[in-house]
Amino acid sequence: MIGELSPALIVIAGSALTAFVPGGWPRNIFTLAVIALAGVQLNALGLGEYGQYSLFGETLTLTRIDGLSRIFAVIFLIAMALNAIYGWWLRDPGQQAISLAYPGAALGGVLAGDLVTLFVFWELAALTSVFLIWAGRTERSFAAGMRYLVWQIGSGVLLLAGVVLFYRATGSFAFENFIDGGLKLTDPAVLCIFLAFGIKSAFPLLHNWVQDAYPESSVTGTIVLSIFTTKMAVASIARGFAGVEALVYIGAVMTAFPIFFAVIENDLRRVLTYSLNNQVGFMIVGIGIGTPMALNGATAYAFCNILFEGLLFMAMGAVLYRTGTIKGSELGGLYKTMPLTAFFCIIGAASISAFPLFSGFITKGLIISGAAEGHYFWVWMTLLFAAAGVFHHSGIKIPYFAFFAHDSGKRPEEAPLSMLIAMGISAALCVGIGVAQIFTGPAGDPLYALMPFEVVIEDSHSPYIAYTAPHMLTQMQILFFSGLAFAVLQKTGLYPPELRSTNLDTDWFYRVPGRGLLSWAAGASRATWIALWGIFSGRVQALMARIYAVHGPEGQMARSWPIGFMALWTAVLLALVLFLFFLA
Amino acid sequence: MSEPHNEHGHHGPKPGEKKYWLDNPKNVELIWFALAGICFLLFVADFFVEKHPHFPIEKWVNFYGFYGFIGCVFLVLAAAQLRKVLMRDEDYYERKSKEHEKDPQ
Repeated sequence: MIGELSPALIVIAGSALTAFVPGGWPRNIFTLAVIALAGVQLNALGLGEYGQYSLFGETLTLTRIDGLSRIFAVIFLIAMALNAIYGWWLRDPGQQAISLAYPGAALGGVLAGDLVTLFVFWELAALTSVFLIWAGRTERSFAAGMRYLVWQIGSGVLLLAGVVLFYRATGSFAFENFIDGGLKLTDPAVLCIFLAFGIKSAFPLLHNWVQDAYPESSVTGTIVLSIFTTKMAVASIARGFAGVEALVYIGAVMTAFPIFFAVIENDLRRVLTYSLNNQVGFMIVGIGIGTPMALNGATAYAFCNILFEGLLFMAMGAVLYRTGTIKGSELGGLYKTMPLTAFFCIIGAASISAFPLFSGFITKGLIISGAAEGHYFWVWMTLLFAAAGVFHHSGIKIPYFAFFAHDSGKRPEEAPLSMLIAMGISAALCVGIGVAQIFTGPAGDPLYALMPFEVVIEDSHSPYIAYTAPHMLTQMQILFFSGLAFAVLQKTGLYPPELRSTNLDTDWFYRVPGRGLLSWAAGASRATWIALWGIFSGRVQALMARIYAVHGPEGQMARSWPIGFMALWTAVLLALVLFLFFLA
Repeated sequence: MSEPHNEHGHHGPKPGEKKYWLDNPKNVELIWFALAGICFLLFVADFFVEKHPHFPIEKWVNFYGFYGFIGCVFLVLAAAQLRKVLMRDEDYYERKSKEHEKDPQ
């Protein structure tokens, strides 16, 4: 035990040191040691508040370990370790350091005991994660990273504005349930924070940065990205907005609409990002219902999701690594030479689909039962539809088009040993969590012990008892009949084939007409600039020339015009908020 | 289930390569029938398992099964229609940005 040192700071400090450790075994062992040390510290600290510091005359809390932050902290550390093992073959100091710094920042956000600390880690997670997108090292990934950054900084600016307004309204930086604290969702302070959280957890229409940016990252980067940002947001929403009814409907929409896009998407990693939206939607519904059982379900589902969604991303990463492509239209038949990857992928698929004996089965039911007990009939119907849809695109489509379907003739080698080990451990955890309560009984389920609220099993119909005849039967019915639907559609040729294509999503608005508008505005401002050029001279001219040199079309900030323009405006916005802050 | 798409017809196992269990269309048929058989058994089991419904609709025979089946068919057919509106060439955005670079107005 190292005093009250924050586990998040251990990880972040460790990430800074990794660059000085030689690549290969030494750096990998060092990385795992850092994660293990953070885990030991988390455990040694136990529940409580640590690392108080003073800022603006307020006492702030760096580390708050309670039931809610603990379950996220534990799974974040497990995921970091799995990612380190998966990427054992990497010899890229920058990417490896960021793969530790960014999750460390997200861990700090989850453990933050007040809004200022949350903001600092929120921004740090945004700024570090963009380097993982750029690790794709293509022009596409550079541009996608820029767009991603605008969204992330936008979320940060909103959070900062919300925190400032919140402080003005209440005189405190306390990060507790805002609504229980007597504020309304429509209060500007609360609304700003809600939207900031909404962007990061990818609410409908604020979702598309996930699909735009994540699949452009490297083989390992996409896996790391898929885990932390959205789950940090889920943890924050659970803390600040549990029981807000709007979330029930927002979450229900999130579960349902991305699955339509997932069915027609060709890039299998992008299919999984739509699945990520859908999965976070289940968690948001659980948080919105807000009963202890639904909140336990939401957090435990996040825990399990990080493992099985991570496993699916890992399997697709292995396919990309071995074949150089992840397009469904170019894959198929890989089970012949990558049988273990296919096997692990199927375990991930069974878990995300919530088959009995897998981890999704014991957690998803808590959210769906929560909706039923809250008498949300249409939400409940939507969740069931979404559950069938998940099985369809993550459970069947991902393994089917990558490993089976038409034989692509590709005969890649099996995934490297390190990838297989990481996938093997993830798969074992998915099954282990799924079957644990058969051996321990529901009361002794180890995952239940981690849940933020006490698990109360009132009678034999309690949703906490996963293995009951009706629960197993109804779940098997929905899954097998969905599978039958897939088979029938395939056999009759009605199933849309995988095609090389781009599908438009909300990013179209800012990538095509928005870009056109910005280009027009840029042209207009250029004309104005030139006109002003003729009028002013001396210092004003020099200043403008300087701004123009940096932000103008030939400047560093504008390798592509509209992005430079957006970056400028984001900076202006940030400056404005800071200015208002000092006025206040 | 294993029908090759036309555009990929030229792929597939190379001559003389090891034959896998799934390469035999009969075995794929077998999976098909097994799936249908399991669904039938689950349908029958519905009559014997006591449920604890929250909503009246859950009392319908095999509600979960039929809802899952219809839901998935709807999902796929609707998504296929969505393609007509949303689908573009693979390099759609690249072409768009080139157009902008050539003619920023």
